[in-house]
Amino acid sequence: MPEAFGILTLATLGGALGVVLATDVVHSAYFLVLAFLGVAGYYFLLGGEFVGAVQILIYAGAVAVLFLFAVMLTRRRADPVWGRSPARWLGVGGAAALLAWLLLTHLERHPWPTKLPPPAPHNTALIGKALFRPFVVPFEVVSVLLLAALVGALLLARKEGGAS
Amino acid sequence: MNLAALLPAEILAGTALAVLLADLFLPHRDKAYLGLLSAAGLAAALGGTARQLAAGLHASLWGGIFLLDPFALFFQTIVLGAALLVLGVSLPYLERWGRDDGEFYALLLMAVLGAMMMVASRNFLEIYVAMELLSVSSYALAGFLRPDPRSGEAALKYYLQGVLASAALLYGISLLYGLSGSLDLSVVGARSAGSLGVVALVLVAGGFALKIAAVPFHMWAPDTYQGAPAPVAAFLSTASKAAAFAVLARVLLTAFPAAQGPWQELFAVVAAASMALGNLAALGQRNVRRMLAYSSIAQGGYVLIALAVATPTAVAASLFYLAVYVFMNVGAFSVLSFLAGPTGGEELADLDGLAERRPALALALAVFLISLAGMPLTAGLMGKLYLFYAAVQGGYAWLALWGVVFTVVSYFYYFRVLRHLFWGTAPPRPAAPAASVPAGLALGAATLATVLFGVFPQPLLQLALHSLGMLR
Amino acid sequence: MPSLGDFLAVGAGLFVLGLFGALMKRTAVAVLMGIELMLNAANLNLVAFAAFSGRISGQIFALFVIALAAAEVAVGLAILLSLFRSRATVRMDDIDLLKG
Repeated sequence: MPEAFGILTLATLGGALGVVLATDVVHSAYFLVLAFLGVAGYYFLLGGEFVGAVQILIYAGAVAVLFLFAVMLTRRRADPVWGRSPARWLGVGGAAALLAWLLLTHLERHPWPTKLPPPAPHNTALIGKALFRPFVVPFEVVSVLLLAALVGALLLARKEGGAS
Repeated sequence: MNLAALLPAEILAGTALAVLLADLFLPHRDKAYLGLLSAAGLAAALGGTARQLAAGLHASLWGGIFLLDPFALFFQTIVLGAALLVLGVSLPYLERWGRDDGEFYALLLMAVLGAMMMVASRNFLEIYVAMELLSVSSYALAGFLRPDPRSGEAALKYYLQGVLASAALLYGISLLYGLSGSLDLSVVGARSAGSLGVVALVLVAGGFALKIAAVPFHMWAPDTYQGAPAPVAAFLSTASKAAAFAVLARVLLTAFPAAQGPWQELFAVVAAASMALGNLAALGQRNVRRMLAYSSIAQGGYVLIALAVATPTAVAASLFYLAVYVFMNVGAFSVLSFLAGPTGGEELADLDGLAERRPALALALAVFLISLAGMPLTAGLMGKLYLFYAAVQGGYAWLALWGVVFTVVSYFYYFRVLRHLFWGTAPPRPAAPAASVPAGLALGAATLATVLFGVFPQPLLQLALHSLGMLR
Repeated sequence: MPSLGDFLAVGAGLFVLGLFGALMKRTAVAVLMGIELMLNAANLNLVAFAAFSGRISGQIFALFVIALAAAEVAVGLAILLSLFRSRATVRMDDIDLLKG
């Protein structure tokens, strides 16, 4: 278990670091997939196999491919963080370090439960039931949202000239 | 019972689908019917919501995920009213634009649906999902004028900052969930005491502050309000802002009354900064739409006084102010949408002598602007009076004084526009397009309401006070 | 077995790295990648809290967020594409038509 956690942490945080530090946007996209897969691994470790599978399918699959498409369809440019001004490094870096310190100290100090209860035997079935009983309205709102995103994306990405 | 109470929302969703479907079959010259269909759906939803409000409905649905109380219904009415006005102005706007009507109306309706669900949610999951519906539709609407790069820029800036804020909001929610073990607003606050809870609450508040365009999360607003289609800017600056304010107020007042001290101070600073920055930056603008954008940042600052003071009087005053603000701000953006091309021709000089060319439009714009400035006999003055009075009463006299000072500052830029309207010499130019009936109705209603609520503010104020009863 | 605090620490790291990337990158696509990392951090928190408290709602929330994020990214990339058609740039510094 600790080994798996270590490997996943390496993949997730290493991937995230790669996204930020990579000069080529395409490399960033590959690192992003690595980070997404690492997070999916945590979900499996935590007994959320359905969320893990969805994470792989949607995030590491669909979203990552969308990103690659976006890079290919627009102009591919180098985007090094090294090139930013020292003032920006100082400002953003300082703020990020402060936030990290704030979050980590507070998260450490809080008395969280330490033992992981055994995962529910029918985890996926439970999710299905919750989705269609108490959370049915948010579920419906999401279906409208997907339609809105579809209409919006089609509207915006349509080529000029072709009348509607 | 559950489904019947949500009837207005269902009507909206159904109308959006009907518009999309009808769009496929209607020939190009008949697209105006889509607008009328949307207007009918919005009016029906507005009627239903107003009836629920009048009946004093107070229903908790789906195990408390939804709470249709007078507070929620009041804001739903505001949002629907604003959307109806925006729709009236959109009709001639889209006629000039000449395509994509169906998509525009459907996205507008879905954005309204998101805002409606958002203000009636008592569960963080539902709040987040509904807010994303509002956001995603708004992003697409902001970029509606594809060939105009300014519209795309408006959409991209709003999108990136909006998604960033929603990620921070979500991280805050996740911490609150961990601390309390619940997503229910009525439970979260009591179990999220301590410094980690404060950090989480700041992240959550930041996410909503972006939609209100409060300093320091206002950066997108000038660009987006200027570059987006004028009716969309009107929607974002009123309905979207009111919905976010409603949720923020509900989260803070019902879930975190215990943590009042710190967040009151925080919002006092945010309100003061918004008033100062919005009003001062508006002074230097030559583009009227951009000036109105900064003005609406400042107006958001006035409303946020309520969260700093956090007394029932103050919150009721903010409800009153938001309700009348809808009329004057939608009105002001709408007048601009008639004058200019899709996103241009809104410099101060373009308004020269408008009173001679289009007396009715000039008069309407003048009413909206003096109301935004807070002059006597307008609803804007009454709203500001109530807010400042509540601030003094609640021990925030300095904030009231600050507001008065910056109200005086705001006179300079509002009256500069009036000078151009009435005393500028009209340049020779092609006649602006004639106003259509729905747009005339919308503008007339907005003008009338701005004056009426200025002369007879009592009924609306009573309604606002009554709507608070259930908030505790 | 790693404790809840370990998962939360990874989440905090992911969140801060994503924020740093979103604020330091110049191209809109890379900014969006940073934001996606932040969303994943929140999701990791939600699932970890759910698992350690034996509740299901956190997992449900994470599922919703994944669906929303995919829709949001699609709209964002459409905006980017439409802007690229008219401006031929994706660098935020070049996108500067709207100014006071």
